[in-house]
Amino acid sequence: MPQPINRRGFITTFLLVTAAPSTLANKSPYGASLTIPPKSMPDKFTPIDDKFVSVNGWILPTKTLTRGAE
Amino acid sequence: MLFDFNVQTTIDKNYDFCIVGTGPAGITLARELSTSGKTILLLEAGGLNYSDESQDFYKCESVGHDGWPQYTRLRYFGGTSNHWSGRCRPFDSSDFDTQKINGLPGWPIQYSAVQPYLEEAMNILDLDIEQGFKPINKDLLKDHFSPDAFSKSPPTRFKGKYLSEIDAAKNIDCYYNATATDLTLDESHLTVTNIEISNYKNYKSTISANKFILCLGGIETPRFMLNCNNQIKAGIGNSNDMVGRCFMEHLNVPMGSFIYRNLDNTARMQFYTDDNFVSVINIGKSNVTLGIIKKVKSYGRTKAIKTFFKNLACKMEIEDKVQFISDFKCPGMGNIGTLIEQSPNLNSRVSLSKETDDFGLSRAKFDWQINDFDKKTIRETGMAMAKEFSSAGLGIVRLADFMLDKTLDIPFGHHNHHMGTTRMSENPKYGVVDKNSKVHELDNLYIAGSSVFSTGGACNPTMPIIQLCLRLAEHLKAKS
Repeated sequence: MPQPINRRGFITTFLLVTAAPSTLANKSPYGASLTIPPKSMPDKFTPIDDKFVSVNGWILPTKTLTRGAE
Repeated sequence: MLFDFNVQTTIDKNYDFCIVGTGPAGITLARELSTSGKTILLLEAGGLNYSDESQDFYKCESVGHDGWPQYTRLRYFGGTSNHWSGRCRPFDSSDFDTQKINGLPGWPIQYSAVQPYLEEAMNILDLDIEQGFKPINKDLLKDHFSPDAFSKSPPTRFKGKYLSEIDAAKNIDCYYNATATDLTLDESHLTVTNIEISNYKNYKSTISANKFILCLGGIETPRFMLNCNNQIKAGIGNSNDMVGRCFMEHLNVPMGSFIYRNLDNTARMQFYTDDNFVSVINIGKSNVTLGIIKKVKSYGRTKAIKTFFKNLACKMEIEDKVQFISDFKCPGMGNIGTLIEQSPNLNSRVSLSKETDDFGLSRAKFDWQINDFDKKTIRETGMAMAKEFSSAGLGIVRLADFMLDKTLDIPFGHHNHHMGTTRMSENPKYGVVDKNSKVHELDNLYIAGSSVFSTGGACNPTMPIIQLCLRLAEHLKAKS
Protein backbone atom coordinates (compact mmCIF):
# COMPACT_ATOMS: atom_id res chain seq x y z
CA MET A 1 0.00 0.00 0.00
CA PRO A 2 1.46 3.41 -0.91
CA GLN A 3 1.76 5.86 1.95
CA PRO A 4 -0.99 8.50 1.96
CA ILE A 5 0.42 11.91 1.17
CA ASN A 6 -0.76 15.12 2.75
CA ARG A 7 -0.81 18.47 1.02
CA ARG A 8 2.35 19.79 2.64
CA GLY A 9 4.23 16.61 1.82
CA PHE A 10 3.20 16.74 -1.80
CA ILE A 11 4.17 20.38 -2.30
CA THR A 12 7.49 19.81 -0.55
CA THR A 13 8.20 16.85 -2.80
CA PHE A 14 7.08 18.66 -5.92
CA LEU A 15 9.14 21.76 -5.23
CA LEU A 16 12.16 19.62 -4.50
CA VAL A 17 11.80 17.97 -7.87
CA THR A 18 11.29 21.14 -9.84
CA ALA A 19 13.81 23.16 -7.92
CA ALA A 20 16.54 20.59 -8.11
CA PRO A 21 18.28 21.59 -11.35
CA SER A 22 18.70 25.23 -10.44
CA THR A 23 19.26 25.05 -6.70
CA LEU A 24 21.01 21.75 -6.26
CA ALA A 25 23.13 21.68 -9.40
CA ASN A 26 26.28 22.75 -7.62
CA LYS A 27 25.90 20.19 -4.88
CA SER A 28 24.81 17.23 -6.88
CA PRO A 29 25.26 16.02 -10.43
CA TYR A 30 22.50 15.87 -13.01
CA GLY A 31 20.56 12.98 -11.54
CA ALA A 32 19.72 14.69 -8.26
CA SER A 33 16.14 15.43 -9.15
CA LEU A 34 15.47 11.79 -9.98
CA THR A 35 16.38 10.55 -6.53
CA ILE A 36 12.86 11.19 -5.22
CA PRO A 37 11.27 7.80 -4.71
CA PRO A 38 8.51 7.35 -7.29
CA LYS A 39 6.13 6.04 -4.65
CA SER A 40 6.01 9.48 -3.07
CA MET A 41 4.36 10.87 -6.23
CA PRO A 42 0.69 10.63 -7.11
CA ASP A 43 0.24 8.07 -9.91
CA LYS A 44 -0.90 10.69 -12.39
CA PHE A 45 2.12 12.93 -11.85
CA THR A 46 5.50 11.94 -13.28
CA PRO A 47 8.58 14.13 -13.67
CA ILE A 48 10.01 13.76 -17.16
CA ASP A 49 13.13 15.87 -16.81
CA ASP A 50 14.18 19.23 -15.44
CA LYS A 51 11.70 21.11 -17.61
CA PHE A 52 8.71 18.86 -18.12
CA VAL A 53 6.26 16.83 -16.12
CA SER A 54 3.58 14.43 -17.15
CA VAL A 55 0.16 14.80 -15.58
CA ASN A 56 -1.92 11.83 -16.61
CA GLY A 57 -0.09 11.79 -19.93
CA TRP A 58 -0.26 15.54 -20.58
CA ILE A 59 3.30 16.69 -21.16
CA LEU A 60 3.54 20.08 -19.48
CA PRO A 61 6.34 22.52 -18.82
CA THR A 62 6.98 22.38 -15.10
CA LYS A 63 6.67 26.13 -14.86
CA THR A 64 3.02 26.01 -15.94
CA LEU A 65 2.25 24.23 -12.70
CA THR A 66 4.41 26.37 -10.49
CA ARG A 67 3.89 29.70 -12.20
CA GLY A 68 1.02 29.21 -14.64
CA ALA A 69 0.91 29.09 -18.41
CA GLU A 70 2.39 32.00 -20.28
CA MET B 1 1.81 -6.72 -77.06
CA LEU B 2 -0.61 -8.08 -74.47
CA PHE B 3 -1.48 -11.76 -74.32
CA ASP B 4 -3.86 -13.66 -72.07
CA PHE B 5 -1.98 -16.79 -71.00
CA ASN B 6 -5.32 -18.50 -70.42
CA VAL B 7 -5.80 -18.26 -74.19
CA GLN B 8 -2.36 -17.85 -75.77
CA THR B 9 -0.29 -20.61 -74.21
CA THR B 10 2.51 -21.07 -76.72
CA ILE B 11 5.62 -19.02 -76.00
CA ASP B 12 8.61 -20.18 -78.00
CA LYS B 13 10.94 -17.20 -77.96
CA ASN B 14 14.12 -16.60 -76.04
CA TYR B 15 13.97 -13.16 -74.48
CA ASP B 16 16.72 -10.75 -73.52
CA PHE B 17 14.90 -9.85 -70.32
CA CYS B 18 12.17 -11.58 -68.35
CA ILE B 19 10.45 -9.25 -65.86
CA VAL B 20 8.14 -10.85 -63.32
CA GLY B 21 5.45 -8.50 -62.02
CA THR B 22 3.63 -5.50 -63.49
CA GLY B 23 3.55 -3.13 -60.53
CA PRO B 24 5.37 0.22 -60.66
CA ALA B 25 8.76 -1.55 -60.62
CA GLY B 26 8.03 -4.07 -63.38
CA ILE B 27 6.35 -1.59 -65.71
CA THR B 28 9.06 1.03 -65.20
CA LEU B 29 11.77 -1.51 -65.99
CA ALA B 30 9.94 -2.84 -69.06
CA ARG B 31 9.44 0.64 -70.46
CA GLU B 32 13.03 1.68 -69.84
CA LEU B 33 14.59 -1.53 -71.14
CA SER B 34 12.40 -1.47 -74.25
CA THR B 35 14.22 1.66 -75.42
CA SER B 36 17.30 -0.48 -75.92
CA GLY B 37 15.52 -2.53 -78.58
CA LYS B 38 15.98 -5.71 -76.56
CA THR B 39 13.16 -8.25 -76.34
CA ILE B 40 11.24 -8.29 -73.09
CA LEU B 41 8.87 -10.76 -71.54
CA LEU B 42 6.67 -9.12 -68.91
CA LEU B 43 4.66 -11.46 -66.71
CA GLU B 44 1.59 -10.68 -64.64
CA ALA B 45 0.14 -13.40 -62.42
CA GLY B 46 -3.30 -11.80 -62.23
CA GLY B 47 -5.55 -10.55 -64.98
CA LEU B 48 -6.20 -7.08 -66.30
CA ASN B 49 -8.75 -6.46 -63.56
CA TYR B 50 -9.25 -7.41 -59.93
CA SER B 51 -10.62 -10.86 -59.20
CA ASP B 52 -11.11 -12.75 -55.94
CA GLU B 53 -9.63 -15.82 -57.62
CA SER B 54 -6.33 -14.03 -58.20
CA GLN B 55 -6.30 -12.15 -54.90
CA ASP B 56 -6.64 -15.44 -53.02
CA PHE B 57 -3.01 -16.23 -53.87
CA TYR B 58 -1.99 -13.41 -51.53
CA LYS B 59 -3.40 -15.14 -48.47
CA CYS B 60 -0.70 -15.52 -45.84
CA GLU B 61 -0.26 -17.32 -42.60
CA SER B 62 0.28 -14.45 -40.20
CA VAL B 63 2.08 -15.38 -36.99
CA GLY B 64 3.49 -12.06 -35.80
CA HIS B 65 1.96 -8.63 -35.81
CA ASP B 66 -0.68 -8.63 -38.53
CA GLY B 67 -0.19 -6.26 -41.45
CA TRP B 68 -3.19 -7.48 -43.48
CA PRO B 69 -0.94 -8.72 -46.31
CA GLN B 70 -3.80 -10.28 -48.27
CA TYR B 71 -5.57 -6.97 -48.74
CA THR B 72 -2.84 -4.36 -48.79
CA ARG B 73 -1.47 -5.59 -52.12
CA LEU B 74 -3.31 -6.04 -55.41
CA ARG B 75 -2.68 -8.95 -57.75
CA TYR B 76 -3.54 -7.73 -61.25
CA PHE B 77 -2.01 -5.57 -63.96
CA GLY B 78 -0.56 -2.44 -62.38
CA GLY B 79 -0.20 -4.18 -59.02
CA THR B 80 -0.56 -2.16 -55.87
CA SER B 81 -0.42 1.10 -57.84
CA ASN B 82 -4.12 0.40 -58.40
CA HIS B 83 -4.86 1.61 -54.88
CA TRP B 84 -1.83 3.55 -53.61
CA SER B 85 -2.33 6.98 -52.04
CA GLY B 86 0.14 8.90 -54.19
CA ARG B 87 2.19 10.45 -51.41
CA CYS B 88 5.78 10.89 -52.60
CA ARG B 89 8.96 11.89 -50.87
CA PRO B 90 12.42 10.76 -51.99
CA PHE B 91 15.03 9.39 -49.64
CA ASP B 92 17.31 11.92 -47.96
CA SER B 93 21.05 11.67 -48.36
CA SER B 94 21.24 10.65 -44.70
CA ASP B 95 19.12 7.58 -45.43
CA PHE B 96 22.18 6.12 -47.13
CA ASP B 97 24.43 6.43 -44.10
CA THR B 98 26.23 3.15 -43.67
CA GLN B 99 26.21 2.84 -39.89
CA LYS B 100 25.06 -0.52 -38.58
CA ILE B 101 21.63 -1.01 -37.03
CA ASN B 102 20.96 -4.19 -35.06
CA GLY B 103 24.29 -5.50 -36.34
CA LEU B 104 23.25 -5.05 -39.97
CA PRO B 105 24.90 -2.61 -42.39
CA GLY B 106 22.90 0.07 -44.15
CA TRP B 107 22.83 0.85 -47.85
CA PRO B 108 25.95 0.00 -49.87
CA ILE B 109 25.20 2.91 -52.20
CA GLN B 110 25.09 6.65 -51.62
CA TYR B 111 22.37 9.18 -52.30
CA SER B 112 24.26 10.22 -55.44
CA ALA B 113 23.40 6.83 -56.94
CA VAL B 114 19.65 7.57 -57.02
CA GLN B 115 19.52 11.36 -57.13
CA PRO B 116 20.07 11.57 -60.94
CA TYR B 117 16.82 9.67 -61.49
CA LEU B 118 14.63 11.93 -59.39
CA GLU B 119 13.26 14.10 -62.19
CA GLU B 120 12.41 11.16 -64.43
CA ALA B 121 10.74 9.39 -61.51
CA MET B 122 8.69 12.52 -60.87
CA ASN B 123 7.55 12.48 -64.50
CA ILE B 124 6.52 8.86 -64.24
CA LEU B 125 4.53 9.59 -61.08
CA ASP B 126 2.97 12.75 -62.58
CA LEU B 127 4.50 15.06 -60.00
CA ASP B 128 4.97 18.78 -60.56
CA ILE B 129 8.73 19.16 -61.09
CA GLU B 130 8.70 22.94 -60.73
CA GLN B 131 6.84 22.76 -57.44
CA GLY B 132 9.06 19.95 -56.14
CA PHE B 133 8.77 18.75 -52.58
CA LYS B 134 7.56 21.72 -50.59
CA PRO B 135 7.14 21.91 -46.82
CA ILE B 136 3.45 21.68 -46.03
CA ASN B 137 3.52 23.95 -42.99
CA LYS B 138 5.75 26.60 -41.45
CA ASP B 139 8.84 25.75 -39.47
CA LEU B 140 7.00 25.98 -36.16
CA LEU B 141 9.15 23.80 -33.92
CA LYS B 142 12.51 24.96 -32.61
CA ASP B 143 14.43 21.70 -32.45
CA HIS B 144 14.42 18.08 -33.55
CA PHE B 145 11.74 18.44 -36.25
CA SER B 146 11.39 20.12 -39.63
CA PRO B 147 8.21 20.61 -41.61
CA ASP B 148 7.58 17.56 -43.75
CA ALA B 149 8.00 18.09 -47.47
CA PHE B 150 6.31 15.87 -49.98
CA SER B 151 4.54 15.92 -53.31
CA LYS B 152 1.28 14.25 -54.18
CA SER B 153 0.84 12.07 -57.23
CA PRO B 154 -2.73 12.10 -58.70
CA PRO B 155 -2.08 9.10 -57.83
CA THR B 156 -0.69 7.53 -60.96
CA ARG B 157 -2.38 4.23 -61.78
CA PHE B 158 0.19 2.34 -63.81
CA LYS B 159 -2.45 0.28 -65.54
CA GLY B 160 -4.37 3.33 -66.71
CA LYS B 161 -1.28 5.22 -67.74
CA TYR B 162 0.81 2.50 -69.34
CA LEU B 163 -1.38 -0.43 -70.43
CA SER B 164 -1.86 0.87 -73.97
CA GLU B 165 1.85 1.72 -74.24
CA ILE B 166 2.83 -1.81 -73.20
CA ASP B 167 0.28 -3.22 -75.65
CA ALA B 168 1.72 -1.13 -78.46
CA ALA B 169 5.38 -1.90 -77.70
CA LYS B 170 6.77 -4.22 -80.36
CA ASN B 171 9.55 -5.62 -78.23
CA ILE B 172 7.50 -6.22 -75.07
CA ASP B 173 5.42 -9.38 -74.81
CA CYS B 174 3.24 -9.04 -71.74
CA TYR B 175 1.44 -12.18 -70.63
CA TYR B 176 -1.21 -11.85 -67.93
CA ASN B 177 -2.86 -14.71 -66.03
CA ALA B 178 0.67 -16.12 -66.03
CA THR B 179 1.93 -17.03 -62.57
CA ALA B 180 5.66 -17.64 -62.20
CA THR B 181 6.02 -20.94 -60.36
CA ASP B 182 9.69 -21.87 -60.62
CA LEU B 183 13.13 -20.91 -61.89
CA THR B 184 15.54 -23.41 -63.38
CA LEU B 185 19.28 -23.07 -62.80
CA ASP B 186 22.07 -24.46 -64.96
CA GLU B 187 24.28 -27.28 -63.67
CA SER B 188 26.62 -24.89 -61.87
CA HIS B 189 23.67 -23.31 -60.05
CA LEU B 190 25.08 -19.93 -60.99
CA THR B 191 22.76 -18.98 -63.85
CA VAL B 192 19.01 -18.95 -64.26
CA THR B 193 18.11 -20.55 -67.57
CA ASN B 194 14.32 -20.79 -67.57
CA ILE B 195 11.22 -19.62 -65.82
CA GLU B 196 8.14 -21.80 -65.49
CA ILE B 197 4.73 -20.17 -65.62
CA SER B 198 1.24 -21.52 -65.11
CA ASN B 199 -2.26 -20.32 -65.86
CA TYR B 200 -5.32 -20.93 -63.71
CA LYS B 201 -6.12 -24.08 -65.65
CA ASN B 202 -2.73 -25.37 -64.55
CA TYR B 203 -1.34 -25.23 -68.08
CA LYS B 204 2.39 -24.69 -67.77
CA SER B 205 5.02 -23.25 -70.05
CA THR B 206 8.79 -22.89 -69.71
CA ILE B 207 10.49 -19.83 -71.16
CA SER B 208 14.15 -18.93 -71.45
CA ALA B 209 15.72 -15.50 -71.11
CA ASN B 210 19.17 -14.02 -70.70
CA LYS B 211 18.35 -12.02 -67.59
CA PHE B 212 15.53 -12.30 -65.08
CA ILE B 213 14.20 -9.52 -62.86
CA LEU B 214 11.80 -10.20 -59.98
CA CYS B 215 9.44 -7.31 -59.24
CA LEU B 216 6.96 -9.00 -56.94
CA GLY B 217 7.04 -6.81 -53.84
CA GLY B 218 8.31 -7.30 -50.33
CA ILE B 219 6.32 -10.45 -49.57
CA GLU B 220 5.94 -12.27 -52.89
CA THR B 221 9.56 -11.84 -54.02
CA PRO B 222 11.01 -13.80 -51.07
CA ARG B 223 8.09 -16.22 -51.19
CA PHE B 224 8.83 -16.99 -54.85
CA MET B 225 12.58 -17.37 -54.25
CA LEU B 226 12.00 -19.72 -51.31
CA ASN B 227 9.50 -21.73 -53.36
CA CYS B 228 12.14 -22.23 -56.08
CA ASN B 229 13.53 -25.14 -54.09
CA ASN B 230 13.64 -28.03 -56.53
CA GLN B 231 17.37 -27.69 -57.14
CA ILE B 232 18.43 -25.91 -53.97
CA LYS B 233 16.48 -26.91 -50.90
CA ALA B 234 16.84 -23.57 -49.10
CA GLY B 235 15.57 -21.69 -52.15
CA ILE B 236 17.28 -19.57 -54.76
CA GLY B 237 19.73 -16.93 -53.57
CA ASN B 238 19.35 -18.06 -49.98
CA SER B 239 22.64 -19.72 -49.04
CA ASN B 240 23.06 -17.20 -46.21
CA ASP B 241 19.47 -17.63 -45.01
CA MET B 242 18.74 -13.96 -45.70
CA VAL B 243 15.85 -14.29 -48.17
CA GLY B 244 12.71 -13.08 -46.43
CA ARG B 245 14.50 -11.70 -43.38
CA CYS B 246 14.40 -8.09 -42.24
CA PHE B 247 10.81 -7.41 -43.22
CA MET B 248 10.20 -3.74 -42.50
CA GLU B 249 7.08 -1.61 -42.52
CA HIS B 250 6.46 1.98 -41.56
CA LEU B 251 4.91 2.04 -38.13
CA ASN B 252 1.66 3.84 -37.54
CA VAL B 253 1.56 4.37 -33.80
CA PRO B 254 -1.41 6.05 -32.08
CA MET B 255 0.97 7.80 -29.72
CA GLY B 256 -1.48 10.28 -28.29
CA SER B 257 -3.65 13.31 -28.79
CA PHE B 258 -3.24 17.05 -28.52
CA ILE B 259 -5.05 20.34 -28.23
CA TYR B 260 -4.14 23.51 -30.05
CA ARG B 261 -3.65 26.64 -28.02
CA ASN B 262 -4.83 28.86 -30.85
CA LEU B 263 -8.19 27.69 -32.07
CA ASP B 264 -8.18 30.16 -34.95
CA ASN B 265 -5.48 28.10 -36.59
CA THR B 266 -6.17 24.39 -36.46
CA ALA B 267 -4.58 23.42 -39.75
CA ARG B 268 -3.08 19.98 -40.04
CA MET B 269 0.65 19.94 -39.26
CA GLN B 270 3.25 17.49 -40.40
CA PHE B 271 6.80 17.21 -39.15
CA TYR B 272 9.86 15.15 -39.97
CA THR B 273 12.60 14.33 -37.49
CA ASP B 274 15.83 16.10 -38.29
CA ASP B 275 19.05 14.23 -38.93
CA ASN B 276 20.91 15.56 -35.90
CA PHE B 277 18.23 14.46 -33.44
CA VAL B 278 17.99 10.99 -35.00
CA SER B 279 21.74 10.60 -35.02
CA VAL B 280 22.43 11.85 -31.49
CA ILE B 281 19.66 9.81 -29.85
CA ASN B 282 20.37 6.86 -32.18
CA ILE B 283 16.85 6.15 -33.35
CA GLY B 284 15.01 5.75 -36.66
CA LYS B 285 13.38 8.56 -38.60
CA SER B 286 9.79 9.63 -38.16
CA ASN B 287 7.08 11.54 -39.86
CA VAL B 288 4.57 12.91 -37.35
CA THR B 289 1.18 14.32 -38.29
CA LEU B 290 -1.06 16.35 -36.01
CA GLY B 291 -4.61 16.65 -37.26
CA ILE B 292 -7.89 17.79 -35.79
CA ILE B 293 -10.80 15.42 -36.11
CA LYS B 294 -12.87 17.14 -38.75
CA LYS B 295 -16.35 16.33 -37.55
CA VAL B 296 -15.90 18.10 -34.21
CA LYS B 297 -17.36 21.58 -34.30
CA SER B 298 -15.01 24.28 -33.14
CA TYR B 299 -17.42 26.10 -30.85
CA GLY B 300 -17.85 23.00 -28.76
CA ARG B 301 -14.12 22.84 -28.19
CA THR B 302 -13.42 26.46 -27.55
CA LYS B 303 -14.80 26.75 -24.07
CA ALA B 304 -13.26 23.53 -22.82
CA ILE B 305 -9.82 24.34 -24.19
CA LYS B 306 -9.82 27.92 -22.97
CA THR B 307 -10.81 26.66 -19.55
CA PHE B 308 -8.03 24.11 -19.69
CA PHE B 309 -5.35 26.68 -20.42
CA LYS B 310 -6.87 29.15 -17.97
CA ASN B 311 -6.58 26.58 -15.22
CA LEU B 312 -2.98 25.94 -16.06
CA ALA B 313 -2.32 29.59 -15.45
CA CYS B 314 -4.63 30.24 -12.51
CA LYS B 315 -3.71 30.33 -8.87
CA MET B 316 -5.36 27.02 -8.15
CA GLU B 317 -3.39 24.93 -5.68
CA ILE B 318 -1.05 22.44 -7.27
CA GLU B 319 -2.97 19.34 -6.20
CA ASP B 320 -6.17 20.80 -7.59
CA LYS B 321 -4.40 21.79 -10.76
CA VAL B 322 -3.04 18.28 -11.20
CA GLN B 323 -6.51 16.89 -10.56
CA PHE B 324 -8.08 19.28 -13.04
CA ILE B 325 -5.58 18.39 -15.74
CA SER B 326 -5.98 14.69 -15.05
CA ASP B 327 -9.72 14.93 -15.42
CA PHE B 328 -9.65 17.07 -18.55
CA LYS B 329 -11.50 15.49 -21.41
CA CYS B 330 -12.13 17.31 -24.64
CA PRO B 331 -13.99 15.61 -27.48
CA GLY B 332 -12.27 17.84 -29.98
CA MET B 333 -8.72 16.77 -29.30
CA GLY B 334 -6.69 16.05 -32.38
CA ASN B 335 -4.89 12.82 -33.02
CA ILE B 336 -1.23 12.24 -33.66
CA GLY B 337 -0.45 9.98 -36.58
CA THR B 338 2.96 8.63 -37.44
CA LEU B 339 4.96 7.04 -40.21
CA ILE B 340 7.96 5.71 -38.32
CA GLU B 341 11.02 3.99 -39.72
CA GLN B 342 11.37 0.38 -38.63
CA SER B 343 14.90 -0.91 -38.30
CA PRO B 344 16.08 -4.02 -40.18
CA ASN B 345 15.67 -6.97 -37.85
CA LEU B 346 16.46 -10.60 -38.66
CA ASN B 347 13.50 -11.87 -36.65
CA SER B 348 10.95 -9.95 -38.67
CA ARG B 349 10.55 -12.15 -41.70
CA VAL B 350 8.69 -13.82 -44.52
CA SER B 351 9.17 -17.57 -44.76
CA LEU B 352 7.14 -20.45 -46.17
CA SER B 353 3.97 -21.76 -44.58
CA LYS B 354 2.88 -25.38 -44.64
CA GLU B 355 -0.30 -24.15 -46.31
CA THR B 356 -0.27 -24.16 -50.11
CA ASP B 357 -2.15 -22.32 -52.84
CA ASP B 358 -3.91 -23.83 -55.86
CA PHE B 359 -0.57 -24.17 -57.70
CA GLY B 360 0.80 -26.22 -54.83
CA LEU B 361 3.17 -23.43 -53.85
CA SER B 362 3.72 -22.75 -50.18
CA ARG B 363 1.97 -19.63 -49.01
CA ALA B 364 3.92 -16.91 -47.25
CA LYS B 365 4.34 -17.17 -43.51
CA PHE B 366 4.30 -13.58 -42.38
CA ASP B 367 6.00 -12.79 -39.09
CA TRP B 368 6.21 -9.06 -38.56
CA GLN B 369 8.15 -8.06 -35.44
CA ILE B 370 9.48 -4.83 -34.02
CA ASN B 371 12.34 -4.72 -31.53
CA ASP B 372 13.76 -2.55 -28.75
CA PHE B 373 15.39 -0.16 -31.23
CA ASP B 374 12.00 0.53 -32.80
CA LYS B 375 10.35 0.96 -29.40
CA LYS B 376 13.01 3.49 -28.51
CA THR B 377 12.36 5.32 -31.79
CA ILE B 378 8.64 5.50 -31.01
CA ARG B 379 8.99 6.69 -27.43
CA GLU B 380 11.82 9.17 -28.00
CA THR B 381 10.06 10.68 -31.00
CA GLY B 382 6.75 11.02 -29.19
CA MET B 383 8.30 12.62 -26.14
CA ALA B 384 10.37 15.03 -28.23
CA MET B 385 7.29 16.02 -30.20
CA ALA B 386 5.27 16.57 -27.02
CA LYS B 387 7.95 18.81 -25.55
CA GLU B 388 8.56 20.73 -28.74
CA PHE B 389 4.87 21.27 -29.37
CA SER B 390 4.49 22.72 -25.90
CA SER B 391 7.70 24.78 -26.01
CA ALA B 392 6.67 26.33 -29.31
CA GLY B 393 3.39 27.45 -27.74
CA LEU B 394 1.31 25.46 -30.20
CA GLY B 395 -0.62 23.55 -27.56
CA ILE B 396 -0.26 20.53 -25.37
CA VAL B 397 0.21 16.87 -26.17
CA ARG B 398 -1.17 13.98 -24.18
CA LEU B 399 0.83 10.82 -24.70
CA ALA B 400 -0.74 7.40 -24.44
CA ASP B 401 0.16 5.29 -21.41
CA PHE B 402 2.44 2.99 -23.43
CA MET B 403 4.54 5.97 -24.45
CA LEU B 404 5.49 6.62 -20.83
CA ASP B 405 5.42 3.15 -19.34
CA LYS B 406 8.05 0.90 -20.91
CA THR B 407 6.46 -2.19 -19.45
CA LEU B 408 3.41 -1.79 -21.69
CA ASP B 409 3.18 -3.16 -25.22
CA ILE B 410 3.11 -0.59 -28.00
CA PRO B 411 0.15 -0.93 -30.36
CA PHE B 412 1.02 -0.12 -33.95
CA GLY B 413 -0.47 -0.33 -37.40
CA HIS B 414 0.91 -0.57 -40.90
CA HIS B 415 1.24 1.68 -43.95
CA ASN B 416 1.24 -1.07 -46.58
CA HIS B 417 4.94 -0.55 -47.23
CA HIS B 418 6.64 -3.93 -47.46
CA MET B 419 10.40 -3.53 -47.44
CA GLY B 420 13.74 -5.17 -46.80
CA THR B 421 13.16 -8.88 -47.44
CA THR B 422 15.84 -9.15 -50.14
CA ARG B 423 17.92 -6.32 -48.81
CA MET B 424 20.84 -4.74 -50.61
CA SER B 425 24.26 -5.33 -49.07
CA GLU B 426 27.83 -5.45 -50.26
CA ASN B 427 28.39 -8.48 -48.06
CA PRO B 428 26.23 -11.57 -48.93
CA LYS B 429 26.16 -12.39 -45.24
CA TYR B 430 23.88 -9.41 -44.60
CA GLY B 431 21.77 -9.22 -47.72
CA VAL B 432 20.42 -10.88 -50.84
CA VAL B 433 21.34 -8.47 -53.65
CA ASP B 434 24.49 -6.51 -54.37
CA LYS B 435 24.70 -2.77 -55.02
CA ASN B 436 23.42 -3.34 -58.57
CA SER B 437 20.38 -5.27 -57.36
CA LYS B 438 21.81 -8.56 -58.65
CA VAL B 439 21.28 -11.60 -56.45
CA HIS B 440 24.68 -12.30 -54.92
CA GLU B 441 25.10 -15.91 -55.88
CA LEU B 442 23.58 -15.80 -59.36
CA ASP B 443 24.89 -14.25 -62.57
CA ASN B 444 21.64 -13.11 -64.15
CA LEU B 445 18.93 -12.77 -61.50
CA TYR B 446 17.99 -9.26 -60.37
CA ILE B 447 15.42 -7.87 -57.96
CA ALA B 448 13.60 -4.55 -58.15
CA GLY B 449 11.19 -2.97 -55.71
CA SER B 450 11.13 -2.14 -52.03
CA SER B 451 12.29 -5.61 -51.01
CA VAL B 452 15.84 -4.44 -51.83
CA PHE B 453 15.69 -1.53 -49.37
CA SER B 454 18.50 -1.85 -46.84
CA THR B 455 16.72 0.64 -44.60
CA GLY B 456 13.34 2.21 -45.15
CA GLY B 457 13.63 5.83 -44.03
CA ALA B 458 10.39 7.57 -43.20
CA CYS B 459 9.22 8.35 -46.71
CA ASN B 460 6.66 6.50 -48.79
CA PRO B 461 8.50 3.92 -50.88
CA THR B 462 7.10 4.37 -54.38
CA MET B 463 9.34 7.28 -55.32
CA PRO B 464 12.57 5.51 -54.27
CA ILE B 465 11.35 2.31 -55.94
CA ILE B 466 11.04 4.14 -59.26
CA GLN B 467 14.43 5.83 -58.86
CA LEU B 468 16.11 2.50 -58.12
CA CYS B 469 14.37 0.87 -61.10
CA LEU B 470 15.58 3.58 -63.44
CA ARG B 471 19.08 3.07 -62.08
CA LEU B 472 18.82 -0.70 -62.56
CA ALA B 473 17.53 -0.27 -66.10
CA GLU B 474 20.50 1.91 -66.97
CA HIS B 475 22.86 -0.66 -65.47
CA LEU B 476 21.26 -3.52 -67.41
CA LYS B 477 21.27 -1.58 -70.67
CA ALA B 478 24.95 -0.79 -70.20
CA LYS B 479 25.75 -4.44 -69.56
CA SER B 480 23.86 -5.86 -72.54
